[in-house]
Amino acid sequence: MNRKTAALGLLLVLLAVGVFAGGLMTWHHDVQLYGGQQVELVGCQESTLVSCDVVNTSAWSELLGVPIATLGIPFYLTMMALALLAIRGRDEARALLIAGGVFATGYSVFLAYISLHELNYVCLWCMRMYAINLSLLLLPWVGGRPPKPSFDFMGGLAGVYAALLIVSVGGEHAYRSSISHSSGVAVSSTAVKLDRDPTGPAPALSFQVTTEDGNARTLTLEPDDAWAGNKDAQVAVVMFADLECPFCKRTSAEVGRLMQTYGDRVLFVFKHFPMDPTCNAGVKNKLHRSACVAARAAVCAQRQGRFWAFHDLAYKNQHQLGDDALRAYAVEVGVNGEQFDTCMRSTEADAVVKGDAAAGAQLDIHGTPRIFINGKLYRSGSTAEVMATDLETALGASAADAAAHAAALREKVDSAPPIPADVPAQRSVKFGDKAFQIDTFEAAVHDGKAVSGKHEIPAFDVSWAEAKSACEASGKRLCTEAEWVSVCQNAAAVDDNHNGELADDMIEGTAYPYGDYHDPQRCWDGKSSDAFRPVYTGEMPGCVTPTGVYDMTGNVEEWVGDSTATAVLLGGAWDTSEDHARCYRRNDSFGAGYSSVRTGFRCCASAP
Amino acid sequence: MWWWMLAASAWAAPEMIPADVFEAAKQPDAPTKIEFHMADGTTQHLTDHKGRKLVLSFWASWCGPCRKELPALSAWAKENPNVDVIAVNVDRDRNMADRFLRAVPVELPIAYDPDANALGGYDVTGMPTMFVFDTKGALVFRKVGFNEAAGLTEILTAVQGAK
Repeated sequence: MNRKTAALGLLLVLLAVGVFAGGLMTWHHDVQLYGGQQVELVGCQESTLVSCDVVNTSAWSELLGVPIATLGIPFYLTMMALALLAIRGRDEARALLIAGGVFATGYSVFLAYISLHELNYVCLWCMRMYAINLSLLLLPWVGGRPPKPSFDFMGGLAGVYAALLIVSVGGEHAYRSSISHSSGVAVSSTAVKLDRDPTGPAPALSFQVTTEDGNARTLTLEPDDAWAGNKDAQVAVVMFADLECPFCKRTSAEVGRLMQTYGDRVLFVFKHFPMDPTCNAGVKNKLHRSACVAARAAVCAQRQGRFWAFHDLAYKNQHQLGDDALRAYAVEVGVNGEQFDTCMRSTEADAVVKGDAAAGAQLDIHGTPRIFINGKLYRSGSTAEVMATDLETALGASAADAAAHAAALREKVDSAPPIPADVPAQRSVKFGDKAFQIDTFEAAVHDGKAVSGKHEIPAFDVSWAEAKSACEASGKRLCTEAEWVSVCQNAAAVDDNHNGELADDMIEGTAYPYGDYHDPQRCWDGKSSDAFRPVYTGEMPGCVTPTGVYDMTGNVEEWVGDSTATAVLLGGAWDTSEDHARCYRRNDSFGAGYSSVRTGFRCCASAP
Repeated sequence: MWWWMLAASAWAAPEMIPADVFEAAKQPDAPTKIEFHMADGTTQHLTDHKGRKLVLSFWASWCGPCRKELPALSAWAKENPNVDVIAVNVDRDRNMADRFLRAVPVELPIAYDPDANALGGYDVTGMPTMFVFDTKGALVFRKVGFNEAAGLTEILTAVQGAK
């Protein structure tokens, strides 16, 4: 055996290892990201520097939605075919091996840079593949400079590669579908508004804008912008937003309040500004992994007249914006699934998103949300009352009237009926075919017994076992997770993916006990300063479900579960941030013996 | 007049529970109640360490700073053999803890607390949390979180200051 054959033989073995590594990494990537499981990758022991979990599930681990490890498989197989041909005497194959090596090594350098500087972890299997790629660049040189390959040879090779690529990507897609954690996202709710969007293109309007960088620019509406409200209005509220951005979710609630009041007199427009450079050249860092695909999905829903319904459902379910979930939300609001799929595969939706993002970048937008009211800029945190003042002025109201009307908007939202003096201690509820009773208030404990009533000190610093025994001492039991979530969201909770948890599923009812959007006046949450403590029961009359159950989110976390294995804390506490103190807040960090000043409970009972 | 009273009551801040009731709940349980199930199958109580200073470090596999804190504490324990140190894992799934230990170098006695019975008594709300007990078993220092730059200097000071 001469040196050339030996080098090519060694390369053949290394490439076979590359195929194996590609398969292994594809499996790991798909199971971790889409299978909802934690799996340990052999040969990649985690440490303070090494984490295949971090690297192989990062935003950089996919290219056009396909794991890069999967793309490596047909590449290495094609290179193996070339190495075999070279061993059998087709010397021109070595030139193509080197060309493949140049490409693969260059891409490896890029990925290694990302790994070290963006992700701060390295992945040992990735490094093995980098080494194989480098050997692909070097080993074919043994035996001297190869002859130039013919076009026929390269054409044939391209055909082989294309065929292998189709098989590999198809295989990965089929595997991902078979294990997909969210493939069971089911159409299980009828709580979503099914209103159709208004028909016709967005009106042609332009506004002079002073950008946040102080530049004078023009904001122009495009015919394919998502719009609502009065088409003939000369006053417009234009929101640049990202469906994965929590601040946008909050601000969209404020804009929603404006739409309710001013929808007959004002035009409302939504433009996409996803915080991901993949579809937005105006941002540098990928802050939101699903922002681009969610924006495309919204455009595809809009193509079928369902933008606003999709917008509401996507914001409500911001905790889950995977591909399958987005499709389920689209179908849920009345979109035809097949047409949606076709749209998502096309470049059309992507072009709309990129167009919106470019328009935003031209207006010096650096973050989301940004709202322009007749050209005046508002940022995150702008309330409906603040924006209403300018809207009123633009609509011709005097300064005094504008202030009064804006104040009235606030008054309408803040008012919550007081809790009646004779409020019952329990509520009888029924969701689906399950009827049961639940305490109206978070439980207090007197003489070891759970008590539900107004102006009690809610029990805290209790473990699951202590909560259980207090409920049982008063002839009741702890609620199950499904019971608790059903009451909180006011709809039967469905475990769409059958994993025993509800927090990762589509919200069937409302995100908070009182509605879909957080209202800081309602529940005792978001109070993270040391100056705050839990409040007495019944202190927050607006924090109530339609069935009359108080304080389900915020104040103290509540133990649920009928065994130590199912014991979890729900709803968040007084210091839980507003985005997390919601019906789907699930704290399972610690076991059933855990107690802290945050841990309380309420009891349930079977229907009498 | 009555509407002014109504308006005033409507705007009144929600009444928080009394501060003394709240603060009292933060006090740890009596040390004798707490026991640890060690990796070797034995059970230890806090009282077993009377006469020696004890550092308890609660940690979890999902806790990022624990990856830095435990190796540092492990090295510190070697330099301070007169102090007992126990790393108490609070993962609900022991496999996750064992996987963590395969990746992160820790040479400390490991206790497992999957049901959070030991954790529960201390009002711990975040990971890592470290406690220092004096030779009489009294809690003299607690710290939540780990600052890599500051390292274990605070713990060292607390241990040196403990009787």
